[in-house]
Order: sequence, then structure tokens, then C-alpha cells
Amino acid sequence: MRRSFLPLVFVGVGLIASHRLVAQGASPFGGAVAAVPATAVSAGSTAAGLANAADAKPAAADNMTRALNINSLESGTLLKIINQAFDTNSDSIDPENGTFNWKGHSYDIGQFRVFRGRFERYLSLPPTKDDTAYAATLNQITELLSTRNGDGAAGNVMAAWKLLYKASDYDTDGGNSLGVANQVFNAWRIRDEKQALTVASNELERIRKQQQGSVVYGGDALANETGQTVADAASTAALTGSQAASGNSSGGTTIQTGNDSTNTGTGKKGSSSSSGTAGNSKNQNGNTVGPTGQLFRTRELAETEAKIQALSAAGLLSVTQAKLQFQSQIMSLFLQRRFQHCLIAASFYRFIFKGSHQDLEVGKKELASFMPSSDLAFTVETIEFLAREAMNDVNSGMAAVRSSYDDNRKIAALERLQETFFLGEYLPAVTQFETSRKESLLTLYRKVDEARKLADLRDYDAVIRLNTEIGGLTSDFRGGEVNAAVSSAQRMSSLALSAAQQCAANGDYPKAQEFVEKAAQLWPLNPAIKSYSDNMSSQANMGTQAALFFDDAFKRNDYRRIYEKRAELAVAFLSDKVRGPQLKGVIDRMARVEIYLAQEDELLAQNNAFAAWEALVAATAFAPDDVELNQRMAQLAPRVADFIGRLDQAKRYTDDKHYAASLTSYLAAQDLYPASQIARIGIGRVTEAIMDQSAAEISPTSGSAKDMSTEGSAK
Amino acid sequence: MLGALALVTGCGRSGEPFPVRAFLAAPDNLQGNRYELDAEIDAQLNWREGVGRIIAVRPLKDDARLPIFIADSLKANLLVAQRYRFEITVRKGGLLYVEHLDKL
Repeated sequence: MRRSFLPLVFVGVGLIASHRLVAQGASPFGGAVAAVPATAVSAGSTAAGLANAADAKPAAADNMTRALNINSLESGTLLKIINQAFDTNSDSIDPENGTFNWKGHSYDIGQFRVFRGRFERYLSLPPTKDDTAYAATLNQITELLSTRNGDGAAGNVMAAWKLLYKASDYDTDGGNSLGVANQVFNAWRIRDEKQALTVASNELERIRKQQQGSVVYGGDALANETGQTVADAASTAALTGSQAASGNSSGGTTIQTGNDSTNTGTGKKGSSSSSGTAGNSKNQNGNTVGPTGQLFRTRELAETEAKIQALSAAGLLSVTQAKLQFQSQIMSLFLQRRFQHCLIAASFYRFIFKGSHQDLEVGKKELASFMPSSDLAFTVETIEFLAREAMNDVNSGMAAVRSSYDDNRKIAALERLQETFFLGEYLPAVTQFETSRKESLLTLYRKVDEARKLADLRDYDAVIRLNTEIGGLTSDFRGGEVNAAVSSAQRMSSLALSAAQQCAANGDYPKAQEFVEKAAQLWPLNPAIKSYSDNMSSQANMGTQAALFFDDAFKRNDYRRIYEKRAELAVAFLSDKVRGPQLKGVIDRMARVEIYLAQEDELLAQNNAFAAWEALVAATAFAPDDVELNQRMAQLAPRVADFIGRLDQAKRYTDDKHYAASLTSYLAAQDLYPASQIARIGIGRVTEAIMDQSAAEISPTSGSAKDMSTEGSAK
Repeated sequence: MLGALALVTGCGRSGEPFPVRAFLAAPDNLQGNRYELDAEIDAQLNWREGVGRIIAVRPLKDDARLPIFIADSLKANLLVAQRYRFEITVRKGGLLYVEHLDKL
């Protein structure tokens, strides 16, 4: 009796709530019935949230798929990476927000670099004893829950449940076992509550039957006393009862139906009516058989029936909630790739919920992405099937890794391991992989990754060096193709640099810069680029120094110094529009001077000093201040002193416009050297001048001319 | 008779031989003087119609060649290697202007 009291308290609370609903004129069923869909909607919205989260991924998934194909070892290989790196017009890879595809579904693996870091850490860390013990614990739980062992005996289930707490103590578990254990506990608690509700419901059913009997009896008695039929008695009771209730309410009278709501239907124990109702009487049992009493009994019966319905709805709601929560947990574990936990949770679910609850209410859309061609109803077994298939894939993947490794195809082994790791990161087949093999693959992984980074940086020499090393580690690395791609890029860079040099030689520096940038883009560490830069720099320095040197020598008419450095200056002044032509003029002059000097050498060799002198004099017209020329003239002058003296005298007379005297001197010089070109030219020039003077003297004064003509006479 | 002598010595031809070396050394010092020069025609240096010709002559008593100007008005027919006695005036600039010439 004491044991059944607690549920009755719950029923009492329910009655108060239903009474309020009745007082508000609402159906007591309405709230309960409305509550169920509301909960279903809530659960549905959770599922929709998961679906939306899944829908939000495609864009990131596409990006990541590209990243996986190109930037990782999965089905890409270093060749693709390096070729990508060689393509200067390629887009850079953004490996952020990556996903992993399995059976058409994208697993969100978080930030790709972080995941790569996890993979590296996995390769570098050996499996611990804890890992072994943890794997054994999970296997033990799985065995206990297997339908093959013990037929799902309650003891096995309880033992498995306890082992979940043990498994959760391991770091590698990540608290997932505890989550499953809590979920199981929650389901059990809800099941107990459901049992309590059943007890309460049974009690109410008993009361309802009593109340029903009382109402039937009261109706029959009233009909006998009033001579009415039972139906008329009931309707009369209802009519008068409502009037009485109305009158009582307005008159402020109180009708006590009993101290305890549970014994309302048992009679009017201790009840009193201050106003009373006409026609009421008591039967042998002391029950009121009047219309008013009949009215209250009918109402109490209705209230009891409402409570029964409310309790039934509450039980249904609790079970639904528990089922949805459990299914969400299973789905979540599956999506997190915790396939063992997923199987364990599914096994618990099977033991806790009966067969009619196996259909999935949540995660249908996620499962549909794994099985796009299937129109089957998704159940918990579907998740189990997929989880087992994933585990099988992981196991076969690891077998492929070992096979490739043993065949010294370590690149393939590394690719398969990475793929398998993406899927089965938490499975024993992956975590228990042999340390020595992991170390070997880690070495290869790091070298390949380094080669990829170097290829990104286009440090081709280092790439080739690493290729050689990688080629020594494994037999399936296509180093030749990598080297060919590297050579191609190097050639392209060299060609671009050659074009830059040509443009620079032509003074087209913007174009040269463009080609240099292209060359640097193709191969930033191209040693020829440094040489080119050094040359350009030295050219710039030389240009500055050459300009200073040239300007100084040109100002002093020291053409010989300029002429001696004509080659360097010519390069330096290629694009100098002022000094370039000046340099050309100097070179032309000095070239002639050199010719005359060579001529002088030859003439001296022939002992023709006067001709040699005239060659030097001719040279002075081009470089009067040339040291070499003047030195030679100084050396030669004593040998032709008279000749020089007469020519000099002739020049001076010419300058003084004493043309006749000048002519005399030229003739004297010509006497010394009859072939003298200087004298001949001088004679011609001054005789013309004399003629001009003579003509001038004649023409203005014809008379005087006439006089001259008449004065002199030839005989 | 005296008049005729006067014409020959003072008013006619000077008869003074031309100082070749002095002229070569300082032609301006002889400007305005009149001399006789016996020389052989060496070469014709220039000729301008209506004006005259410049002839290089070689004095018979010297090796140096001298330029002389013979006005066209003298209407002389000159040939290389012919010897003449030139009556010359040293004009401005040292020009040996032939006033009269006689073939030797």
C-alpha cells in the first residue's frame, strides 16, 4: 500500500493539472495530445538541424576534395603536387575546412592542416599498452552484447554497460563510452518511469471501473424512484445538476465532494450540503441517489478517464524522447567515425527498445547520402551495417597498406594508410599498426612533404636531391617524371632570362624586367638570375663610373683616354642618348688619328720626314691635344724644322692677311718639300686671296686699274 | 741728254736689284720700293681674267722662289723657263707687283 502511494502522488499532480484544464473549459486530452506532436516537432527540428549542417558542407567539401586530390597523397602523388607547383598560373590550394569522402558522403575532418598534423602524430607515436587494453575492452563489450553470446541476457548487458565506464577511462576513448553508458542509463531510467506510470494507470483504471459502477447504480436507482428511464434520469440529473452548480456558484455555497479525491466515487463520506437539493435521497448504502449526486459521480468518472489518457500520453512521450536521444547518439557516433561505439550503442539500443522501435527517426538524410540508390527504410541495423562495412574497409585498407609496404611500394602504402586513417582513425586496425612500418612511412611522408613544400617554393635543386633520396626509400616513386618536370621548368626560366638579357641589351628595361620576373616565377633560385642581377648592378655602377670618366676626359679633350676605354664605354653608354653620340664622335676622330699615326710610322720608315710631318699635322685637326700625337710631332719637328718654320710663317702671314708674304713662305716650304700638300693647299688659298685683293683694287677705281694697265708694259 | 739720263736713272726704272734674302726675311720692310729682278719663270700659280696672274719665279742669282703678280694689262705672254727682267714694286702685304718686264 505504501509502495503504490508514490505513483498516486504523481496522479494527484496530474489531476490538479487536469482539473485546471477542465476549469478553463479545455479538454484534458488536448494538452497531452498536443504535447506529443510538439515533442515530435522538436525532435524533427533537431534532425533538420543535422541535415542543414550537412547541407552547409558541399562548398567546403568541393574545395577540400580538390585539396585532397592535389595537396595530399591521396590518389594524387607528389607528381601532381609538383606539376601543380610548376604551373605558375595555377591557383593556390586552400586546404582549410576539409572533408573526407567515403561512399559519397563527406566527413568533416576539420581544418585540413590540423588533420595532417594528427596523421603525422599518428605515424610518429607507437601504440601503447593502453591502446591494446582499450581495444580489448571494447571487444569484450561487443562480445557481451553479441546476440551469439548469452542471447542478450540481462547480466551480459549489465556487464557490458559497466565495462563502458572502464573504457571511458582511456584517453583514446575521448569520453564516447561514457556517453553511450549515460545514454543507456537514461533509457533505463525512462523505462522505470514508464513502469511507474503503468502502475498509476492501472490504479486509475481500477478507480474508473468503480466510478463507472457507481454511476450506473445511481442512474438505475434514480430511474426507479422517479419512474423515468435511465436515459431520462441521466439527462435530468445533468440538467438539474448544472442548474444546481450554477446556483451554488452564484449563491456562494460549497459542495464538498470528499476529502480525498481518490475516494470521490465511493460515496459522500463526511460530505455535507448546506443548501440541499430537492428530490435527493439515500439508498441502503448511504449513497446519494438524487440527480445532483448522480451529476458529481458522472463528472468524477470523466475526470478519472482524462487522467488515464494523460498518463498514457506521458508514457508515450518519455519513450519517444528516449528513442530519439538514443538514435541521435548512434548517428552522431557513426558520423564521428567511432564505428565501434556506434555498434555498441546500437546493440544496447536493440536490448532496450523492442523491435517496433528499430526504425530510425533521426539521421535519415545522412544515411541516405551513404546509400543514395536505396529506398529501404532506415533502421538502427542500417547504421550497424554501414559501421561494419566501414570497419571492413578499414581492415582491408590496412591489409593493402601492409601488402604495398612489403612489396617496397611505400608511396602506395602511404597513400592507402592515409586514406584508411581518414576513415578508421579510431579503429584498432589503424591504431595497432606496427611501429617500425609507421616509422619508415613517417620518414617517407616527411620527405615527400618536404619535397612538396620545396616544389611549392620552386627550389628545384633541393627537389631533385630529395627525389633521389625518396627514390632510395621506395620503388614506386616516379622520380624521373619529377626530374623531367623540374628540368622543363628550369629551361623555361633560363629562356625567360635570356629574353630579359636581350631586352636589356636593347635598352628595353621594362620588358627585361618582365622577363626576369617570369624567370624568377618559374625558378626563383635560378643561379643565372643572381648573375644577371649582379651584372645589371655592375653595369649600373660601371655606367655611373663611365659617365664620370667620360665627362672628365671629354671636357679636357683627352680623346685618347676615351678611345682606350671605348669598349667598356660603348657598353655603358648603350642607352645614353647624350654620351653615346659623343663617344661615337670621339672614336671616329681617334680612329683617324690612329690611321695618321700609322701612316707617319710608315713614312718615317721610308725616310720621308716631311710627309710624316704632314700626316701628323693632318691628325691634329682631329685631336689637337692628343698626347701621343704631340709627342710624335715633338720628336719629328727637329728633322723638318725649316719646313715647319716656313709653313708656320706662311700661316702667320695668312692670319695677318699678308697673303703675298704668306705665298712666299709657302713657296719656300714647297721648295723644301715639293710634294707638300700643306704648301700646295696654302698656295692655292693665298693666291685666291691675292686675286681677290687685286680685283678689289681694280674694280672700285677703274681709273686706277686703267692706270695700272697703262702704267706697266711688257716688251 | 741729261733729261734722257734722268728718265733712265730716277724717273724711269730704278735698276736696283731685288734683295731676295731681305725680302724673305721681312717682306714688309720693302713695301713701297721698286726693284729689278732677273728671274726665270717657274710656274703659274693662279690667273684670274681681267685681273692678272701670279707667277712663281726663281731669281737667277738665288734658289728661293718668289711669287710675282703680273696684271693682265701688261698683256705678257709668259712661258715656264723663260727669263725676264721684271721691274717690280713691293706693295702692301709684300706683293711683288710687276710694273714692267723685259725678256732676257
